[in-house]
Amino acid sequence: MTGAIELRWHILRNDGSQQCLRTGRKRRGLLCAAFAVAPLTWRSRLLGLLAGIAVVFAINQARILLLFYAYRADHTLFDPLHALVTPIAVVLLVAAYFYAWLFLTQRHVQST
Amino acid sequence: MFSPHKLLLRLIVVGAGVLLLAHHYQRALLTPLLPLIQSTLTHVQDDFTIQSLDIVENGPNEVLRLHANLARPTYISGRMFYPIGWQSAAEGGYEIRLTVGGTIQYSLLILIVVLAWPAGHWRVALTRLLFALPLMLLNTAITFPAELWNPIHEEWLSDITWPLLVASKMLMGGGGLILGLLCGAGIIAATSRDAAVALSVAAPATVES
Repeated sequence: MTGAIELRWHILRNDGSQQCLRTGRKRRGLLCAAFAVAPLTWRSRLLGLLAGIAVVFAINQARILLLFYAYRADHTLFDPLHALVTPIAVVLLVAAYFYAWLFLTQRHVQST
Repeated sequence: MFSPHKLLLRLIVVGAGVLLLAHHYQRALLTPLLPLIQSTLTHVQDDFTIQSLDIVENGPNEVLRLHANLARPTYISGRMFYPIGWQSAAEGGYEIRLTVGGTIQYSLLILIVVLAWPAGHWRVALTRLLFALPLMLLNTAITFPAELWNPIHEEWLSDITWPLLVASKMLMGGGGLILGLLCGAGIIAATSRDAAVALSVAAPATVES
């Protein structure tokens, strides 16, 4: 009977697992778009972008390590971290980096 | 411009607060909205009948569980699709499960950005929240119509490009977060009392040599 009930439902799941192998490509795209339109000198733009790509890479590696150790320590931590906390944290950190770069560039120009 | 240290500190404090609250109260917050989402879906996607929408435990996770079925035989790209159990006594349909966290993440990002950016006055903060709430709901609700079609598309129509599904995949693959960030920035810029504060990133125009 249970089998018959289960067969009546064509079960499809989307648990976000397709996002497991994210490489930060979209974050790098976000950064490129931001630096492309930012009112900066070409030198500052290029330096900021190159450093930013390294920052995105580092943040992404930290995210993967965090997820790995979280899963090893406690399975229940993995889903909230994977689906909610780390994606938001990564985007906010990338945005904060961009803001900080603009701020520092402006201060540097004002001081010279 | 605000100091990046201050901004980072605000982002950490507000972000941690919002995420903690969301983690603990996401079910309580979403449950009253389910009838609204269900009736919206019924109106937007009349090709489907929505049989139920609820939040259930799935192992350690909470998932949104949607039971739906095609409302009538539907002809798409030379193929006829019949509802499951069509012209038989059996009831059935599709069961779609979405993790609650994944569904609300874009909305939470908008909320964090809007709350973390200094407002200067409580009225500005309130106005920003009023702008943010409809966008948060829209971001959450937009995922469902695509998810209804997605199973059919993936199994039988994967050779055809559907703009709705392309948009949905973009949103779920990280684009939704970027859109959330832009929505938050847009709200801040639109509601700032002093436009120069919100748009101060434009000030370094003088940097050009």
